[in-house]
Amino acid sequence: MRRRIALLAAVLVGSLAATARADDFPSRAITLIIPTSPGGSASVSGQIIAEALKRELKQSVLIVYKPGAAQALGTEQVLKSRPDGYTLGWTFEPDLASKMVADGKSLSFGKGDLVHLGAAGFAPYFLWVKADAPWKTLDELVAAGKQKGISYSSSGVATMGHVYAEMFVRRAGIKATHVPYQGGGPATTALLGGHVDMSVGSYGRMKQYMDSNLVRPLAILVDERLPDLAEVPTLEERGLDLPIQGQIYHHLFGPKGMPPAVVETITSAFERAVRDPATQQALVKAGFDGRWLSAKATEEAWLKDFAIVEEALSQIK
Amino acid sequence: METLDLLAQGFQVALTPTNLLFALVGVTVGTLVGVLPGLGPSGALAILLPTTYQASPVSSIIMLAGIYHGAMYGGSTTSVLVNIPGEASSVVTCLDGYQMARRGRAGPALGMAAFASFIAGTLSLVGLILLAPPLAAFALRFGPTEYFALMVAGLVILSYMTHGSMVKGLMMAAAGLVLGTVGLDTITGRPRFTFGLTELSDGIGFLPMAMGLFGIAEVLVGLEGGEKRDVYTGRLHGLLPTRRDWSESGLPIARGSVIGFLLGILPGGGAVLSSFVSYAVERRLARRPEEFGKGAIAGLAGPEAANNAGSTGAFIPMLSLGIPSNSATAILLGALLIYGVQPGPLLMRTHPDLFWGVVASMYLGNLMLLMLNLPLIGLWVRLLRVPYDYLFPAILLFCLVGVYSVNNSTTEVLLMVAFGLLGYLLRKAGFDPAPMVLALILGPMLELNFRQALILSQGDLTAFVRHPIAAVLLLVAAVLLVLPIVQDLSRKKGDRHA
Amino acid sequence: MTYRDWYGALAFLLASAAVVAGAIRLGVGTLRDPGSGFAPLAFAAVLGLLSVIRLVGTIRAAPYRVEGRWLRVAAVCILLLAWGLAVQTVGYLVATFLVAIGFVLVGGRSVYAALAFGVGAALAVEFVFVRWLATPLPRGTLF
Repeated sequence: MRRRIALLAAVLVGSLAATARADDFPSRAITLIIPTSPGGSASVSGQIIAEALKRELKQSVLIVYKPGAAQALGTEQVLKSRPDGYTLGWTFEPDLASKMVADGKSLSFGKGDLVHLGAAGFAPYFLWVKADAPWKTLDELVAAGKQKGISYSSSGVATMGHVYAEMFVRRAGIKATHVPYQGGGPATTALLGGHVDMSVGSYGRMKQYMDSNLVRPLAILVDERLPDLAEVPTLEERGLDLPIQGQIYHHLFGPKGMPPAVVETITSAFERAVRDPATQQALVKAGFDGRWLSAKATEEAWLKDFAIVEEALSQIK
Repeated sequence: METLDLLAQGFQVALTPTNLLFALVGVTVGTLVGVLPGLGPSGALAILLPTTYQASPVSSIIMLAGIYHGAMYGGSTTSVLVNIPGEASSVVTCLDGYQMARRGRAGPALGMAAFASFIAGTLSLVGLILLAPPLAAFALRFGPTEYFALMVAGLVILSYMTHGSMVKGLMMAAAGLVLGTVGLDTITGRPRFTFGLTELSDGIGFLPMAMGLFGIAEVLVGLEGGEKRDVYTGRLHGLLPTRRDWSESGLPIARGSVIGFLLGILPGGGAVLSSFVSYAVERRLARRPEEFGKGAIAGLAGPEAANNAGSTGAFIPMLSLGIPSNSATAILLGALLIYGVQPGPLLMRTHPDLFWGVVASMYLGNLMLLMLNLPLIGLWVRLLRVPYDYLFPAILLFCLVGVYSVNNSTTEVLLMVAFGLLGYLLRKAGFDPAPMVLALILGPMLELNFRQALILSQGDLTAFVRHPIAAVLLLVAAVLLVLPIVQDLSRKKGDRHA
Repeated sequence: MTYRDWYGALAFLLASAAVVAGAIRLGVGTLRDPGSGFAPLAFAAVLGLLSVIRLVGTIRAAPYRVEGRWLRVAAVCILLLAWGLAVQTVGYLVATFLVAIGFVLVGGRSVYAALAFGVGAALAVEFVFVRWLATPLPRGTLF
């Protein structure tokens, strides 16, 4: 009997402690792990979102970059952190899904291990060359590629930038060499320095360099032209349509086992943060559109991503 | 001189009482945070970034610059006082800074570190004004091939850092390279030498290794030696550098500033090299190189200057191209973006006030650092008067909590202890661990760039000779490698003739 | 204890041989597409070569005595390990308190001095790291 009372007391105290902690969430700074290098699309959108979340949660949001192995390193660190809502991740999809499909066996986590909290920062992919490159149009690039071959940079093996570029060069019949970098930032630097000829990257990552007149878009990888850049053709118009749409979004996630109250606090704060006019303006200015996905819709999109990238990866095998 | 006008304008913006207060707060917090292990400059910057939100862009960037400089200097402070390097550049500070402290000269060491940083900050500001746009364009020409050659030259220079046999120095560097391959392969993501431990998938952390090999090993040697540590009982000789210190440090500071500034502008990891390249150069040029590693002030002043100049140099690709070269500059870049300012070649034209405001505030951070830290030196030095029986437990606990708090990882604590023991054994066998720590950082970059270069050249090794910059760097590396052997031989011949 | 310089060189040689074996198993790849084992193989080969040079150079070197108070070194290492292994279970306060006491005792001070230092150390960690810097140290699962 006494033991049972002690057990009951322990459970009570334990749950009290847990609720107390969940109630005053967040009572200290939140760490937002971005699993790529500074300068990629996740860091551009992540800075904006962290700032907005800070306003909503009234707590500091500390960004930590943890690049490597196509986001697997940083993601793993989020998933093995304590599930108290103080360590969250901000990754870009469907790159992570792609990495998991390509190298699932060597990773310590699976697709069910992520708790999705919402998504934002949607942006289409473009095909970019350096602003002073000799190729002014897609056709000129394809012609050059067929003649002497080109090289392209990506954020890493089996990232979508790699997958799209590879699908494009095969479709166009170009000889191409793929050089993987650690994240979008270094991949962009390689293009800016003229070390590679081409790079496939999201509008959100590259807009700042386009605005500074350092890079030039040759084609967009979704079926519709972007109103902002109406003069840039789609690949489909040029008869080089890819089997999937080239766009990314970013999602906020945490490890399994976070208290429901904490999850609720974060998801609603995230929705308010994205819908905030200041955030909307900042996102659009950086090259993203202002869409927001609920936690549930993000989960569905995530599962759908797996099917898409499996298809895509089988295309370039 | 339009540029000078703009700079003067920048200083006018920066030098308001409010901004001076922000600079002071930034430097103070930065110094405190830099002294605590585990929380580097980028962590401190990120934590404090939100508190700057209400302030104007210039004020908050002034505060961030203050934190950046303060944290760097705080890292040097722990290196000098207790042989604990908080980040890669402080490893070099440990070599002679700590030895100075052990000889009762902690005050001059800390003072010279602050002065050297300030002077280098001033010199590199001049560099920034005169050379920013052309240098940024030059930095972009560094591709995988060039970075590979740069890393190779850096590795050869590593072996110049240690006293005694060059083979031993190179062995330590090679061991560091091998240890650097632990973790997920950065290109394919396959695990290597992780023994199934997820904690190792991220590679062997810098902090557990550096704190083990330096901080813990030093305590172990101190403990078992039974010798009374002279610094903790001996008289302290003055708090500021002497006239002689200045005459020995002048040229090293000037050279360190140039080296640091040039390496700092390379966004792919040049800044890491700056402090130890400067150390190796000073040791090579010194009249009494045998004093290096035993408290030579030139071995402290040069690298400290190089480190600070390197962090100024890192602002060139950030401000003029929008390319961040480390996480600290990335956070500053993020701050600019939040305020709706687009970095890039147009920044100097579209927002001259902000560009020069940032430059001026960087400088202000340097100045505040000097003003804050000179009075603090007396306080730091007094810490060393604590009896060693109490000081060493404090150092050890400091290392434990610091390493654990970075990733909340027991494995990293165990790693630190293992490296502490290894460092102790290496010391007994006469090996210097500094090249090992630096090679651990260089190794992954070396490998990544080598593989990228080979992919780009389609397996053609002659690419390394066909790229002019790479060829020059590799030639320098080869000369540096052969030079001591030739000198050694000719000296032996000379002995025979004598 | 007597020490000969070639002991160390041999240890490094054996370690590099082990890495070479591991690297070959990882797959070295080709020059056109270097594999995961490429760099470890190259680095370990360099280490092995240097170790052989050192081994040959020191094989005739005279032995020398290495002195040390191994017991204190071992005691400190065990205390450090204990903190790392116990902190998640007993929490940072208890772990820091106990290990701090141990350190001071190793240093040869009295039990009272050790107790006072232990309390001080635990309080310092609490106020500096946990309260001020919001470091998420574990409170312990035992209590």
